Amino acid sequence: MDSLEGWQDTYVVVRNIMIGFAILYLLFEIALNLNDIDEDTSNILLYKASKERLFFIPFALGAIVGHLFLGTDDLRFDIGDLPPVLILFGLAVGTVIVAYKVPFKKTDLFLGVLLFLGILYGHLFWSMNMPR
Amino acid sequence: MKTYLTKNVRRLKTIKIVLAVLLGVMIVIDIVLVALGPKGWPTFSKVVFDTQGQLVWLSFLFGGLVAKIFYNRKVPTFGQELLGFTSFSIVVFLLFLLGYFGLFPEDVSNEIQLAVLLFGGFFAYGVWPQYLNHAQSN
Repeated sequence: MDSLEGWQDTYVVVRNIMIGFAILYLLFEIALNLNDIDEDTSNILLYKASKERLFFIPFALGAIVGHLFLGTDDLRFDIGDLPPVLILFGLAVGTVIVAYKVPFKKTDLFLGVLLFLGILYGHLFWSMNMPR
Repeated sequence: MKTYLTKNVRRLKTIKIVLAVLLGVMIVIDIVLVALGPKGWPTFSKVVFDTQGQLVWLSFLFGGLVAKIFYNRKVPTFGQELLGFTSFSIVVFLLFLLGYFGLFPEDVSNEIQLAVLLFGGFFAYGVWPQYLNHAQSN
C-alpha cells in the first residue's frame, strides 16, 4: 500500500510540474500578446519557422499528438520504445540539413500533409498502446 | 524607425530564446524522469497516458494550439481575440472539471481522442482568432 501511495505521489508531482509549465507558458503568451510587437506569439513564431528552415515542426507536433493521445495496439507496427524517438531525432536533423542545402517553398498544404504524416507516425510507430 | 526595428529584432530573439529554454527544460526534466523510472517516477507521456480520462481537456487544448499555429485567422481588434480566448478557456475548464470529477471513462478510445482533438482545432479556428496590431507595425 505504501508503494502504491508513493507511486501516486510521484504522479501528482509530475502532473503539477506539467500544470506549472502550462501556466508559465500561458502567462508568457498573454504578455507577448499585450506587448507592442506584432507577430511575436509562439504560434506565429512556430508557423514562420515551419515556413523556413524548420519545416520539421508540423511533423514533430503531429508525432507528439499521435504519441500522447492516439496510438495503435497493432503489434505489426511495434518497433520498440527507443527507435521511434531516434528516428524522429534523425528526421529532425536530416530535414534541417535539407532545408539549408535545398531551399524550397513550403506551402500550407505541404505543412498540413507533414502534420498529418506526423500524427500517423506517432499513432503507428510511437504508440503507448502496444500490448507488450 | 531603424532603432525601433533593431529593438524589435533583439526582443524577438529574446522571446525565441525564452521559448527554446522552456522547451529545453521540459525535455531535460523528461530525461531525468526516464532515469528515475525504476524508482516509480512517471514521464510526462506516461502521466498523460495513464490519466487519459482526467486529461481530456489537454487533448482539446493541444488540438486548439496546433490549429492556432497552422490554421490561424487574423483580426484587427483585440476584443475578438479576447472573446475567443475566453470561450476557448471556458471549454478547457469545463472539460477539466468533467475529468476531475471522473465523468469520462479512464480509458478514452482513439476515436474519442481524435474527435476531441479535431473539436479543439475547429473550435480554435472558428472562435479564437489572432489579434494583430497593424497600426503599430506600420
